Amino acid sequence: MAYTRTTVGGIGGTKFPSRTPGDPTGLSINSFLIGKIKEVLSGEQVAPILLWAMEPAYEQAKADWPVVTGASSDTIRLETDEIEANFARVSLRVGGEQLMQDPRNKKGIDYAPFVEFNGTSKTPPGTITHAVIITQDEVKERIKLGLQALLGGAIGG
Amino acid sequence: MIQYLRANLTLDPIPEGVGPVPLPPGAGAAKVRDNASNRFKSYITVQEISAKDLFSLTGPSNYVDSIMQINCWCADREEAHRMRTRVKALLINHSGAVGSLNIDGSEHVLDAVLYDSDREVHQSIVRIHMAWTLA
Repeated sequence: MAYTRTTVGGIGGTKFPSRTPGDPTGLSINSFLIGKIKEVLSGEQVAPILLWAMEPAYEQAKADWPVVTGASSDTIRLETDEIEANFARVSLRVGGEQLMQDPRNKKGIDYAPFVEFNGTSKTPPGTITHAVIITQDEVKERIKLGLQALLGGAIGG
Repeated sequence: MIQYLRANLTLDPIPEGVGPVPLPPGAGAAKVRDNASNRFKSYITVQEISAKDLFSLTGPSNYVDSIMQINCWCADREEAHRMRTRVKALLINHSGAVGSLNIDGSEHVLDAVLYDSDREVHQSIVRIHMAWTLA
């Protein structure tokens, strides 16, 4: 497909390498419109397609995330982070304020990053990352299908 | 990769060790200072998070796409970050032999920082995406 470039990156990345309690962890999918397509479509139109395209990664993360009380699993979500003229960013996230406030979370701390980066006694680390990586082909295919539907087949690959 | 990091990480003080997970009990965690530098001792663990085989009918085959996670552990937060910076300089955008692997390309995925209050140790994390074959 010649009209988007899709990249995967950490939330915050190198710009904000530190995190404070309550910052959710996760991965971002960025889609850049390139070539002629950016003259007819906007980031605002692409964002809902990205949300739909990321559903397989979301479902995979929900299926793989370790569940004891379900408090952290319930915070797995897709969020639109950034929309610009020819760019949109959607993130698959877990944890954060919602987890800290959940009554099932007795200590009130955001332990989701510890699960993601160090795993648990029964689950290896990298649940979110793994979900994004193994569904990446499907996600890209959905972005392509979504854009094609939006364009009504006006622009070919 | 562990051998490569052991051989090429020029750090002062040298980490107590570079190895696979889990972090050995007490390693990098206890507030023990290195005699020569008077800095807290440190440790590095390496693990593979995700891997996907790549096959092609017309291009290169037998490549593996891996996400590697390197954890730099130290009671001193700055020391943990310094180790991570050195690891990133060694591995990101690197291509060529790394121990028993031929790295075709590598790119940064994300950084993160955790603090283990039980062991009083900072964990400075980097994840790197690598495409590799066995050398």
